[in-house]
Amino acid sequence: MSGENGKTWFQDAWAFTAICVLSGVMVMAFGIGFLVLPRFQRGRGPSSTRDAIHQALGFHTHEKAIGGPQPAPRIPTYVVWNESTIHQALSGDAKRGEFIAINCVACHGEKGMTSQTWIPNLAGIDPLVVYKQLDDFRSGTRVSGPMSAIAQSLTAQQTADVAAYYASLPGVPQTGGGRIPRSGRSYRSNDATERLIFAGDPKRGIAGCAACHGPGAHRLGAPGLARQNAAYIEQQLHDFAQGSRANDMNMPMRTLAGMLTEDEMHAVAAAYSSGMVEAK
Amino acid sequence: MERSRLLPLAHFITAFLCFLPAICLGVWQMLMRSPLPVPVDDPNAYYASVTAHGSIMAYVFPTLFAMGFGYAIASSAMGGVMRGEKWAWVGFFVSVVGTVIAIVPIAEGRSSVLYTFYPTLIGSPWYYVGLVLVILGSYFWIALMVINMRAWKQANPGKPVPLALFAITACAILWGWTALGAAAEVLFQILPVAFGWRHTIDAGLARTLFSITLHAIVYFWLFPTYIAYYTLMPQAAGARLYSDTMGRIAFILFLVFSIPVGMHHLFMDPEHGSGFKFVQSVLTFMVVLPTLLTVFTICASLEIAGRMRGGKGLFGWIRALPWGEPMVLAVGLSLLLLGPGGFGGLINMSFAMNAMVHNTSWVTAHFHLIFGGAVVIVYFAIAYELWPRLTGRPLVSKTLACSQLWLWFWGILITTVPWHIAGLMGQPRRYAIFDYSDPLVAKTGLLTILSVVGGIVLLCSVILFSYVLVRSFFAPLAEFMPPVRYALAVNPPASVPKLLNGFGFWTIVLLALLLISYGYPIGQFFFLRGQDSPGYSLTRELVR
Amino acid sequence: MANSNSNENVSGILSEKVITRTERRWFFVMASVLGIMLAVIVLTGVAQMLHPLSDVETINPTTLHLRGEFVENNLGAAVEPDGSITVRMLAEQYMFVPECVAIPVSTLVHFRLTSPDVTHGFFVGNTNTNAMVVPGFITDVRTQFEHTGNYKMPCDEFCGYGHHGMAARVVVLSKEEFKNLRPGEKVSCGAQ
Repeated sequence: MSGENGKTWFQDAWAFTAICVLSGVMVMAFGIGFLVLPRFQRGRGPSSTRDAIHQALGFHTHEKAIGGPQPAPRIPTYVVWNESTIHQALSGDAKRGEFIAINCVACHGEKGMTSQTWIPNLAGIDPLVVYKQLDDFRSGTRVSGPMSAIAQSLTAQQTADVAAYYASLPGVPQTGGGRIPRSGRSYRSNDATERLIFAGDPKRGIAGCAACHGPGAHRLGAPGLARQNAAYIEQQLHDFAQGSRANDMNMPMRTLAGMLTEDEMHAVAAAYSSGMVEAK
Repeated sequence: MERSRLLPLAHFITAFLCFLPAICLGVWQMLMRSPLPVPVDDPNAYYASVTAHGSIMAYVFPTLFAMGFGYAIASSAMGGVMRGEKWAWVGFFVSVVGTVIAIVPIAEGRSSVLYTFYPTLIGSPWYYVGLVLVILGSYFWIALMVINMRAWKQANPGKPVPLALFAITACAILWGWTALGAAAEVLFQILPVAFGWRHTIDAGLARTLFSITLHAIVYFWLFPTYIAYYTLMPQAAGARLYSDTMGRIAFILFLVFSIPVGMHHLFMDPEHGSGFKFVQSVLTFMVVLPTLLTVFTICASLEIAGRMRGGKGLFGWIRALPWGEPMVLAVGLSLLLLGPGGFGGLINMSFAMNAMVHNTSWVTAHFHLIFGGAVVIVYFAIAYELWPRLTGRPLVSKTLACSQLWLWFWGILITTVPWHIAGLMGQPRRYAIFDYSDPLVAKTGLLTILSVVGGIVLLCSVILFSYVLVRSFFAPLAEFMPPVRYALAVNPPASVPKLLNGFGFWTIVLLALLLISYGYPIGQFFFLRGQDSPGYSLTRELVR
Repeated sequence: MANSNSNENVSGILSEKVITRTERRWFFVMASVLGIMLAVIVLTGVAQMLHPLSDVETINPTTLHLRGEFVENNLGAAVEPDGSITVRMLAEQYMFVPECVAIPVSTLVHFRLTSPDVTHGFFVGNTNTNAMVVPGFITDVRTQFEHTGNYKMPCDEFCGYGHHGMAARVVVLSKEEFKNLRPGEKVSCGAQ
């Protein structure tokens, strides 16, 4: 760090001035930022220098009183989307799954597509979705007469196998992947249902269904809906709105479905199931 | 054509070839946000478009431009042939390849993460690989600027380095240090998750590393413009630079203070305490200083030029200036835009006022005004200035060039002023579409339509710009084309203090400030527990 | 700003002494202006106690629904023993949960938000309550609303394809109206 003619920094005028000014500025900045400003807080502020510095550094120094006794947590699902769960859910064997799925054909159809429209098609559904729903049936966080017993008879590995099998079948298109952009997917569209699906309704704070359920978008745990059975979709929306289905982690569907009208639920279900809403 | 002229020319042509489609995307984006009808009104397309527009305008265009300008300055300082040209070409191709690799996944809709790519949102890994290559190409440039300045000093012992070469080398050094923030974030945090080697990421650390780059990059963009202010404009105006020394001081202040201020982009973030937010706020005030000093020096230089041309009275010198010279006109218009743009910046850096405008359209309008306006308008003029020297052919028409600059000036104002107001009315940023049937939102409808008009004016300006350059490219060769002449100071110094002629000392100061202002804020993440989050992709890239 | 030509007038336009003097004067004027602005910021911090967010709290974003303060039946507006209000919300793709909260006017309110997925932002329209929500961290903003009314609270950081549809509502009621709300209504904004 030498200045003019090999002088050290404190002999070179420029270097000396620069260091002095900088040091002064930094001392002032740290002093005000760590010793002065943190003391002036609404409510209770730090009372000592050490506390002021801690406050400025972001240490969580003050107590947070929690109002009233803490309620026991209401658990929507025991599934946690961490790496090990995702890994297990994706490592199913489709061949073994096909064998297990023989038991599912009666309701869910031979190729995972059923004409009993109050029952969901499973062909093509994301394996993570199938895995989670079966786990929720097993743990009782989602309730449905036949499914609870069936899920309880499956192990976690078998659940993954069944999920892998159904994912391998053609049916409901995968959600992720890009989609070819098209006109008519904003609030300019005259079709209220298309608007709701692709653009949502910000007045109510509703995002477009497609943003999670596709086509052309992906949200972990959200099933694709194109070519899903209309009566099933509509029933789930009702159940979420009323709270009788409550296994959506962090309440996205209960929050949204609660804001939809009956007609909208019906129209959205019909639009998705008819294949009108597909990624081209 | 000599190789040394082809090098900067290749950079400029590529930069502007990326610029034009990005402007087109910008116009479409503005239409999407407005109540007007627009084709392909699909929100997914909007977010892909913003990613493309932002990545080109923030990473590709200004980097290639600065590289080309730097090579032009270095060659002219080194008597026509700069050192290490072969490596410059390598860097150029690395950057171009990186651009192509990055654009493909964006166009496929698989990397709509926006140019700030904040985790935990993760896009296609190839987008990030492409960006890394674009930056890597620029590191060849950084090394060559330092090498060439050192070679100049060895060939001219004791003499002051020409201000242009001094400043562009400062620019390169600044860029070299600041890009490391985003590079660290991409290389050590994002790419491992994007490729599936790791599954969680610390979003707070990522935002902090990115903030190291996020503010200083705008000073990287600003350097070529200020170099033109100091070294090209006074020459074009037929006069002198008021103070060479002040120019050096200004560039050194930028070098030292640009980086340790990034946390003012994190005022509203939960991962830092108020102490360091305040310290970096104070440092942000320091980085405002060189702009204020520049405005004085440049206006004084303009005044000298005006008075030498016979201007009298308090303001008569303004009218007397050669406004038909593109460089003079561009600098004048740039100073006019710098005012409101800088003022907006002062608001953003004051935490209490920032709370009212954070992440509203005010922010987007601000950086379009100051970067798209004050900075890029001079990029055009630099291109006009260098084009004849690089191609050997004269500019086809200075009048057309000046008309293009006026169009750009008015386009910027018409685009950004209503946009600022919309932000003050609470319009959030990064929205693909707005529901204008909502009476609250409807109030901003006219404002976005005005911005659309501004965008169209800007598009016309860019088309005219391209026309002027293309036409000039095919004009007949001039018999004699004088080389670029940089402005002399009013009293050119025979020697300058060592600390105003080199960067060793200032680099150490820069690093010390970086350590003091970011050391704890970054270090804390390695002691916090429990904050690592999985990555999320909008198109199922990460679930394997 | 000395150099070897400090007194010379090489080009005949202006002597270096004059130039140095004017530049130095401008330097000090500008430094003073900046100093005054900085002083104003410090004074507002001291007098009005306006500070940026400061508490750095981490939380595991994948288990919010299982344990901790953001389990679903602990969300919404809670009255603290000292009379202040703590509003706990989640910001996720693409809604805030709960999507509507009711709070009383002229009362200290803590907004505490976190995200189970990506970075979001929130700002309560026409106020300066504006902050980022980063997964893995808890955002704690303290403020006070002085006017009753319905406030829109959009997300203001790009969070994905549904970003433009993501908004919550904050309903500020008079203290009497708020006291008359049943506990469930604090969350679902009974008074529309």
